[in-house]
Amino acid sequence: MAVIKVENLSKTFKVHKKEEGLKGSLKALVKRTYTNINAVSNISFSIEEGELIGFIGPNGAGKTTTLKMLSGLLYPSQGVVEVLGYKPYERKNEFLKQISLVMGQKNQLWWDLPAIETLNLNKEIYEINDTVFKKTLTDLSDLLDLKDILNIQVRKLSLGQRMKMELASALIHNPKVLFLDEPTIGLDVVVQKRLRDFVKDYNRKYQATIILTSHYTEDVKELCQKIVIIDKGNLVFNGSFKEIIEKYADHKFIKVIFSKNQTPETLSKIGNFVEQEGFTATYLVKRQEVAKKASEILSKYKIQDLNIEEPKIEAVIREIFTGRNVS
Amino acid sequence: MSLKKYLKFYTSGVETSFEYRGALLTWLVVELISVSSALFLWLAVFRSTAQVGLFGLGSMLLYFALIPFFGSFTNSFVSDFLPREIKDGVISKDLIKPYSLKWVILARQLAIKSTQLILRMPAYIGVLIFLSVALKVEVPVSKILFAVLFAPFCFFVHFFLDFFFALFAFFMDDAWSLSHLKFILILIFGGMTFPLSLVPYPLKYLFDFSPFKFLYYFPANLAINGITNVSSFAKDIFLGLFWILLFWIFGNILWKKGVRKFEAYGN
Repeated sequence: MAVIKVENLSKTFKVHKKEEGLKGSLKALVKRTYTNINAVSNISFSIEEGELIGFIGPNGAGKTTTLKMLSGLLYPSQGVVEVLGYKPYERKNEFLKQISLVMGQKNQLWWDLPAIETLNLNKEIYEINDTVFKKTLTDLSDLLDLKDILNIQVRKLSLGQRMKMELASALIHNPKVLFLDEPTIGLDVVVQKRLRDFVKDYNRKYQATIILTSHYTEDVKELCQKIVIIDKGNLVFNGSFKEIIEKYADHKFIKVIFSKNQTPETLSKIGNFVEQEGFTATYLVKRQEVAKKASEILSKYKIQDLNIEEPKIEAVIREIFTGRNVS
Repeated sequence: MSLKKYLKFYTSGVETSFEYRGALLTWLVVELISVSSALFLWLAVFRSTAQVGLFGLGSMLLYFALIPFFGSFTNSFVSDFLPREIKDGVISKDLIKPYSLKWVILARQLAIKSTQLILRMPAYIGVLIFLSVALKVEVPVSKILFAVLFAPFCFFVHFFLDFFFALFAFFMDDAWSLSHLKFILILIFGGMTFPLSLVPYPLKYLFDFSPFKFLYYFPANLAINGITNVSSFAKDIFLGLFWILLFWIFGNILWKKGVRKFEAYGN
């Protein structure tokens, strides 16, 4: 069953366009010109219950705007958006009780009070009964290792500890849909990994539908079953990692370990080699020619090993955004 | 509507206020300096005259001692922070929670008020004792206590007015001008700088009808003179209720339109 349905969704912002310099400022004082910016243009997709989806796109691509429309923060300019059967922008309490939005760059905790106070407040806000609250708190505390920091003032927590508390506070009511906007931004690699593991476990344990935006492809690669790529407000791709590679990467890599050192001339004769290190050489080969090239190498040369590799997902995505062929 | 969640906002707000003891005491000093300067000013004025309007020296000094006293009941600071929070997108975190931001802000304002009253009231009472003992000004304790009963009513006029004002931030490019505008209007129409009974006709009609008079002048005047005319007192109560209703209705309309226009910047 689709938990999130989006059809031809668009969001346009009216932005004041000012000419440069003092003259421009004076002109703007009398007469302002506005321009419409299409932050999101006509996108459609649907997400099933329990799916963990990654939203990828460069800065200003429209990922956060889409997330804000899905969570009810923004009114769409056009199109249909439905989450858990509700129109998010109506912001009905029954809907808001079932979702959560974590923004990596925004603090939702009470800055001057210990984090446990925000959790207690959320208990009242989401009308969670005592038993469920205690159980969820214990679970989250174990999963995120919070026991020792619950009673420390939020402003005295490190960024990583604060982010863990933000997650706990966002999940204390067991939301069915969780929106994570750059949850690992600014965190060191160890904490990033811990948060990723937590999100994965949470998704598995509670069958929550999770949408994640991140600049770190590592986040998305490790966590998500599917990705949605947005660029300049348009949906570029919606599918699995395998599909994206098949669709956009028309080459594969053949990595050969020769039995003896080969001269550069010999290596060039074999094909388009991109890297050489000792006995190892890597070749870039068109997808449809891989089998033929591999058998040619195996038959003509003495080798220790041969591997056929897909291009790295980071490279594929980077090339999609820069509009070049993926290799 | 579950009151429990708003009560929790109130208690958390009180806890937060107590974290800022230094700021609370600084504001107390600011208030005391402002009362002292007003008292010195009117002491100087009354050296050359015995009466200003219907005010003698004693009632004028009492009036200005009662301004911060009632202010601590009627103050509302919504337009000081909400416009900025709207512009910076800070309210995003509230819009995705199952509660009404208006009632949350009210709970927070009441929390601030509670701590202010606890910490400042002894100082204000000290000023009244000083007036009575050192300057021989008659302090009508029973009338003041009676006026205190109406202070919450005056606070609600101010709160809904303030909330209404703050919501214009949804439709404006800058946010700070709103709180400044409100401050100037209170300064003139609220009776903060002079008792409104000193305003000549026909301007007095305008001052009498304004909602700002409930912030300072109405409770201070009630504390000094009591109810001098029942029908005009009843008229004032109806006027206050009228303003509450008006700001409530138009506040809701502005909120609905504003949230639709909200662009949730800052993320």
